[in-house]
Amino acid sequence: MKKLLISFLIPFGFCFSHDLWIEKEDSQYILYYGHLHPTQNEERFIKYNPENVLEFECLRSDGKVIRKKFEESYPAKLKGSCSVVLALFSSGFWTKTINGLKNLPKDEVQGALESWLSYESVKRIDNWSEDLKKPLTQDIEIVSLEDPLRTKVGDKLTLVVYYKGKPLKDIAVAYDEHTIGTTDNEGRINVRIRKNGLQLISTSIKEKADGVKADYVIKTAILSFEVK
Amino acid sequence: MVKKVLVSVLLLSGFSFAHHGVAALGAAGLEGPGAPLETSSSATLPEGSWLFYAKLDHVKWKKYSFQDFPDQKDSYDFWMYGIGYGVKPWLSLYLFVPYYVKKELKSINGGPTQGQYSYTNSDFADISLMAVLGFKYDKGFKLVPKKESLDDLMDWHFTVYGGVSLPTGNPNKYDRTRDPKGEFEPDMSTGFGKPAITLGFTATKQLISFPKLTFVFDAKYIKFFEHTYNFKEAPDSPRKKYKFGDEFRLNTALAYRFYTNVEKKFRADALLETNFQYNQRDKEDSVKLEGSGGKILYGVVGTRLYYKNISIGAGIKVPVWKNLNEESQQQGGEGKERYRFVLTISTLF
Repeated sequence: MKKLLISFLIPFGFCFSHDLWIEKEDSQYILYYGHLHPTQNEERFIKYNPENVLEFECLRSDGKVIRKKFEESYPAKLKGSCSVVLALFSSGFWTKTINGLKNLPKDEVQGALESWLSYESVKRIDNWSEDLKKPLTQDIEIVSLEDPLRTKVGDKLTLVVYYKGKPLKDIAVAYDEHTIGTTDNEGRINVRIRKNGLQLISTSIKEKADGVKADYVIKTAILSFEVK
Repeated sequence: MVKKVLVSVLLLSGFSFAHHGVAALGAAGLEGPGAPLETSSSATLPEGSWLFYAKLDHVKWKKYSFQDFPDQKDSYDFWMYGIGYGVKPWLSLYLFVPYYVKKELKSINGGPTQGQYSYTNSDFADISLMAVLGFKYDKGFKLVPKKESLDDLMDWHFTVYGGVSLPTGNPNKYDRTRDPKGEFEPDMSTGFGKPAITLGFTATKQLISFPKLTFVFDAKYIKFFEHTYNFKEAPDSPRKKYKFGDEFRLNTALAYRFYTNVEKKFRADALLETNFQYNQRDKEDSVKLEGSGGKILYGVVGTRLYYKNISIGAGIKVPVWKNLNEESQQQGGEGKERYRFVLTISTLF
């Protein structure tokens, strides 16, 4: 990510159409890509290349990393008892051409219209602590200001979007891929929990890239937790 | 005057603050709470934004035999032009400039057998100023914040509003066709001569379990004051005094979002309203006037269309129930409409 020329930020509407989520099974966490709630003609799981998983970490509730090593397979697996799990994923370069969308950099296709490099990160919370009211990374991240695990269907949750450790204003936030608004001057937004089970709340930004391999970089951050 | 008891309650369309139904910018406009036509919703203007608003309330009156009513109201057109500004997300200010066209069919020389002539009075009416304070319930009462998500917009929202009209219209224009000194018909004038005061409260709720539906409630009280007109029955008689009856209105509405096209930024709502109105009797020279006042329940069906930052609403309003004080004398008074056609357009910048 750092290699890319980052010159400006653009609040970005949701053009991504795939979910990234972490499921807990016994004593391990599994990273999935696809559609958590598939509609007709959508697949729930989309197989990815294990190399797409850049980071998959187990953290304590104070944000300290316990384990970084994960099973580099499809799907990627992380063992341990974690309060928070973080994953960073990249599906690589995408280029829109006159012949359709290609999973290649701009300089490797003919007739490129626009191209981007896609990064997606997911933060799953399984145990809450006050330390989680602050961002854990310098990347784009959604932070909850209250314990999301105590919420019930119908409750609203106040979230803050951070980037490089600072609140990000006017950035769109989606619940289950449905945009519900943009953040205020303090980076805050309220989101209502609509159903039980695994929650996915996401936001995304677009940054200018080098223009050779990609015109811009799209970074998506997802906050995930279970409501019982 | 041919028949004093025909003086009806004044139709105060211009002064009532029907919600602007503005097309809010972005997702809120396409998926947020709906806005009725006649019932004021609890939406406030975004801070720093300007609203431009126009409304037509066309009233077609029921007409009867000219033997019974030698003079009859034909139609009223209440045009309203407004501008609003969001001072704070919880405080909106409005200026309304009304223009009225009032048409009456009158019997020549007061005798219905001699035929009728049409008398029209049209002019700018009393301008009005309105302030709207918005608040909501979200883990307690609070003022409307600067930015709300679609989920925030589903909370209960409320407004209290107050306004005053200024007597900029002309209350002293008289029909002199039959009588050189003119005929005293305050309800045909385009001004009250005195300020009128409006106080109101609204509540709005977009249903969480069914967000396509929005419920709106609006209650308002309109207070009029006695005005002394230039008119004299005779050169040595005192000038006429007239006070329109105060009005109390209770409105409820449902707005159902039946079509949304996010790509084209278009939305269509169906509207259903009930508007209850209680009018006190008018007073002429401090005496309560026969043939005025009563209770009316209107039904309104309509639609509101949103395209980008423009909103257009249209609907038909008819009295579905009434209990007028002297119904047989109240041609041209509220409750005796054939229909009212309401059209609004607003845009936000």
